[in-house]
Amino acid sequence: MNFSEYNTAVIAHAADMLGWTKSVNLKSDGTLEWYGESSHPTDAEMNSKMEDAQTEYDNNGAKDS
Amino acid sequence: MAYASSVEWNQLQPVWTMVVESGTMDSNQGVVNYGSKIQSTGGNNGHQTSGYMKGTARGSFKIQFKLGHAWGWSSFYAANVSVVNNHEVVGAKYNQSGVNGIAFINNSSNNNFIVSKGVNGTSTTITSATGLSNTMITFWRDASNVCYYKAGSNSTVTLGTFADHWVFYHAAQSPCSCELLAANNDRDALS
Repeated sequence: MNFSEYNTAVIAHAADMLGWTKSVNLKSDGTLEWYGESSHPTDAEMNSKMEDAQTEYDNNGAKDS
Repeated sequence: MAYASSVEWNQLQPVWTMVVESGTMDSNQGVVNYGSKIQSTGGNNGHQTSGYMKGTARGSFKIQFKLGHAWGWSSFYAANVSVVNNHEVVGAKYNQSGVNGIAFINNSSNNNFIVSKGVNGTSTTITSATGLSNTMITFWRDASNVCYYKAGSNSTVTLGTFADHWVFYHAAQSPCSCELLAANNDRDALS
């Protein structure tokens, strides 16, 4: 799944909404970089949160650690 | 100084330069401590500041630095000067075909400290350990082009033999930081 249309801060919000507190990023090909970790959210789970994550980012910016 | 050449003027200094901010510039402080510390404080994957350390290394050198320990990956890379561009800072440049490089990355969210070498486009992990907090890393190359690093009081680790003309950089993932403590070329590198 290609997530390149989203700001990486929005992707971080989506992962956090799914309980993932480790680092996540966007690869140059649009797929998600989980840095070798297992048990991370699936693409479908992430996609289901992107709208809410975009709203959160638009309202409050990037998530503070 | 008996003479000044471009090589001498390009000596390493513990200062960040050619800084690249993601998105629009804003009020976040990107380079602090008189240029020795680069940081990103824009939240998870938020506004970030990347940059190059001043100078290059043709021969032996010693650099000391501290990587941040936060959600994003704090990094310090060595890459061949032939593969980098001064208008962009890209982590993957340490691992390119035909050249060699080194990557140090550290964060708190994965709580990992990882050291990798990129040899002719193949990356190999040398160290994968618990994340470091407030720990000085010394990275050096001797007169035989053997490269080493030492993190805190841990044992010295041999990275390999690399004769590349290197530039050093920090590719940010907010929040993160890299503080330069010392950097110098060895006098032999001038010959």
